[in-house]
Amino acid sequence: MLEPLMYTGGVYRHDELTELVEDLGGHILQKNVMQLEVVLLILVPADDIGVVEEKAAELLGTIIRAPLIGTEIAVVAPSLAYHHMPHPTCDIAEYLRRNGAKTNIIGLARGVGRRAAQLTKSERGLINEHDLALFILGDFLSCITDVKYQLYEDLEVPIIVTGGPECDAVPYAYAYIGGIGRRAKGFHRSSEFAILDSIVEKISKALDERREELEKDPLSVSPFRLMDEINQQIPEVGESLSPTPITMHLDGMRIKLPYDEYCERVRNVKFIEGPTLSDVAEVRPSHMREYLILKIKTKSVAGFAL
Amino acid sequence: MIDSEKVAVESPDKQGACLIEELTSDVLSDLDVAQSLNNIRIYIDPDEPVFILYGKLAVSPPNIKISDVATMTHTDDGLKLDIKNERYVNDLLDKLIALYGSANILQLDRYTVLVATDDDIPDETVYEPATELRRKVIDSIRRVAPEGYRIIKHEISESYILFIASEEPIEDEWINRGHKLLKEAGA
Repeated sequence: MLEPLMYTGGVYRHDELTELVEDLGGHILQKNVMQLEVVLLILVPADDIGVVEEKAAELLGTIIRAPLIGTEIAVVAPSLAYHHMPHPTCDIAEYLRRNGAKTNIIGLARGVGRRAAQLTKSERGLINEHDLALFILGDFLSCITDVKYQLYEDLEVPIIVTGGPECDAVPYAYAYIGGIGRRAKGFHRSSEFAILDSIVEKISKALDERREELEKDPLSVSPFRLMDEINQQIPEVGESLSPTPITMHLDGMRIKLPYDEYCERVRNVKFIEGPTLSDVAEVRPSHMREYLILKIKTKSVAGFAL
Repeated sequence: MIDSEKVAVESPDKQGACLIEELTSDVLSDLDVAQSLNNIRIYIDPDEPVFILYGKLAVSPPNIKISDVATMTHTDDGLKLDIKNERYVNDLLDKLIALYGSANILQLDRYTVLVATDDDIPDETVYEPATELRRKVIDSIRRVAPEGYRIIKHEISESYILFIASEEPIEDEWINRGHKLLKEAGA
């Protein structure tokens, strides 16, 4: 069992920590160097957390548990106008990032109002590529419960909805979190941070359930092993200017390389046991730019597991 | 910070009304128009759907004229303007360009402008604070109104603004309700 952690510390000697994580059989998902500070998103075997914490203390860095590491979450707002940005949409997305998630803010083309609110085909495809979608809705209960569910009722990913009024549940959503709604100010008070924490908690719970579901019919290869193989066999991934050239999903990943140019090379990535990547995963074009989306086949579909 | 009693929101949805009240206060404070719009009355019903806002506009400062921005003296090179209030220089230059064309205007330094004319410049208005105030007030109201309500009817005068917005064509009933708000507020 791998535990998701976020390390924050100085650049000096941080490579000692990355080497330790690799030696322990963990993975480094993201490394952000900001002047003299470095932030690492890492996965470490649960039994070895103590060793990593000791090393972090020696390097005068801090380690915190970041439950959303290895997931990509769509933060969906009805539009990108000042009615929804920067508060609360960007604030929530930033808070999720601080908990390890990779977030994408999506502003819908026709998400506003009641009569015209709808999702386009490309928006539906894009949101379905994520592990979970968080919808940021407004202040009126009747809008949220009676109308806006049309935006997410036929999505395949778990949906969490936030809005202004307090309410127990809304149709088609995994969970609803009230007390946010349309805001013209940031989150400053401890009560407001408690709401953000409850969003993280609900998302973690939804993702844990998805993980449990995946365990019933396990993936034919661990996504993190696949990521390491791709990094080694396609070195161009490392040359991408994106902060996360490979963005992990629970059951696959987004590779930020052009599909037309790299799909064959990705399909032909070889494993030491014999099979190639196309035997264990589907490679298809992403709705986001020209990227590749990789969905790992389950053991029952692939017929074997590595 | 805006006085919370300045904003009164009426709606069939009580929770929504409280949230819109808070949002209005925040938006007005944020855009620096909290002192310019008073006695705000809002009616919002998402089921109809309609958003009506009445607000009393504060008295705005007098218009800025050319003589408020610069002093004029005739010289051999033309008319010389010595800037005394630098804040409105851009508006002054726009006005001079409109009157004489950019070829006849030379800004020697930060505080000196030469105009190629021997006549006095008419003392025209270069900046209208009332126009700027209305622009900011309308901007803030559009931020408060739900984004989907794109059909808008408004009345604006020296002393008040009445703003009606909806997703559907504006109905007479809503206009009457707006005028009722006006009467209640004593406008």
